[in-house]
Amino acid sequence: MPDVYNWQLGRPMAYPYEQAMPKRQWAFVMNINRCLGCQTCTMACKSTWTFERGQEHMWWANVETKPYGGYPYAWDVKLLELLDKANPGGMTWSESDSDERDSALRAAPYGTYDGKTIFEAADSRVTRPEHSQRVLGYLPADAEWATPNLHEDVPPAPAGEKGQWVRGGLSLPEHKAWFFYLARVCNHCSYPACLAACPRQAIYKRPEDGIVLIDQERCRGYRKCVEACPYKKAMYRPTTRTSEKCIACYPRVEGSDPETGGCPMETRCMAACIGQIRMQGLVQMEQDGTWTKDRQNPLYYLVHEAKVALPLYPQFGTEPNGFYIPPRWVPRGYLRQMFGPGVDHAIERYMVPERELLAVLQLFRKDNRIIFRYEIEEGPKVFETEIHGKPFTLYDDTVIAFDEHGSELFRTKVEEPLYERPPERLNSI
Amino acid sequence: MDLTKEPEQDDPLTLNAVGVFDPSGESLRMMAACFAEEYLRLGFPPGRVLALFESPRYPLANGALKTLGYPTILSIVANAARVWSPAHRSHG
Repeated sequence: MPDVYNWQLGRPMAYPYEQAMPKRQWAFVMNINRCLGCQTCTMACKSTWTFERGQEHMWWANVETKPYGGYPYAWDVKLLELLDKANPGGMTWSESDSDERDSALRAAPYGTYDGKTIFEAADSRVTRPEHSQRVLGYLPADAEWATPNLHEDVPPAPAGEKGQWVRGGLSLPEHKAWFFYLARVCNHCSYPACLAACPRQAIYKRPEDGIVLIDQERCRGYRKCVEACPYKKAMYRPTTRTSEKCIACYPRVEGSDPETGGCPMETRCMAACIGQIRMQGLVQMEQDGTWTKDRQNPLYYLVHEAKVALPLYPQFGTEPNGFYIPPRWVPRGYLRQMFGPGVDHAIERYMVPERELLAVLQLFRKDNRIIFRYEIEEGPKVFETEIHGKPFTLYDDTVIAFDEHGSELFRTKVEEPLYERPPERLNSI
Repeated sequence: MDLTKEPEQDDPLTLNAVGVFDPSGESLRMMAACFAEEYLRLGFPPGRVLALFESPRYPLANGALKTLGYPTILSIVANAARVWSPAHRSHG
């Protein structure tokens, strides 16, 4: 297999195809600290793309409850187990040299991954000893797709009683200590496992925005993509005998939705988020696989400057383009396994946010159009205090968002006031 | 009510909603404080943040209220409001 460079692993890795990067890459950041599991994103996606016959089990966007929730059931635990079986105790990281230059840090911000990826462990044959695989993976059973994590924490209602919920009488135990909601969509990986595994080359990555799509004309429903995707975001549709997956709402990203007059627009799941946990955009890519330095792009800032947003299971090796601000109350060992070694730094930076970070976090969900650049106009100092044992100063800065062409989308302040709609107009647009 | 149940390996739903051992309860307090801070930063008034904890529709926040008790949650929200809610800020 050829070698490609994976900046999330800080090293080259084996991949079935030569390195080829899109001009721009679709990417997102989700702030798990704010997610209350309302499932609005889930339903926005479902009602837009997967409401037809044969798609009943498909939830391209879902929110699952960690540590035990999962759609399909236990997808990450099963993959971690397979990877550990193929490379016992191998999922470890080495620190990078902190004196390295900026370009080198962009190439290895989390250090170097010592273990094998799902591509490098493919020849271990731990899934099926009699068959070789291009990518280490497994095919979930039908029953495992049946639990899309809606109302998994408590029974939503007593049987036959609409509009009610169970107020304490539970048949299964509740989480008593910690848990969190993990919102997921396809990561439109830089090195997609689904694409690598497809025997028909029916899966492709668009050069203009890095969105990964399945060509429905070429797909023959072999389900190798379903088996290979470590995040289990490729799904089989029995009525068409083809596989389908999240298409990143590409008509919106292309700017063909009439609402924005040609401006690239964020996906349905991003735009519907009432907790304002999501931001999606397009980042520029170098041909070596790293992100082009674009200091004023909010995604670049969150991932590469503030380093508060981290990839999901980077050790799988697909270089996912979804990034998460990790939940700060969850035990660190669990988070390090899920988001890699950048967790401690990310939480430390996030809990006592610096001036710029606080302003950039205000950009989340103020507009449906994709933000390509931001600027900050400094405002007055509001007060000084100590939070989480560290000094903190709040400034009421104004952050301004710009679109693809440099036109202003909106401006908002750090202390933006909240206006509530009157009850009779709660659903007004 | 007995809330314990051993996991059954052949039941795909059994591990949903099982408890995680946290004897000090510190994670739960941190979680509640995090939600209070996040939603105050979004501009929610403290009363509306408190309502998130009170609603059974948000099991994560509501579970914290049920376990820690109303006075603890009230104090957590009030402490966060002193920093993040302009109308309740105690620093000059």
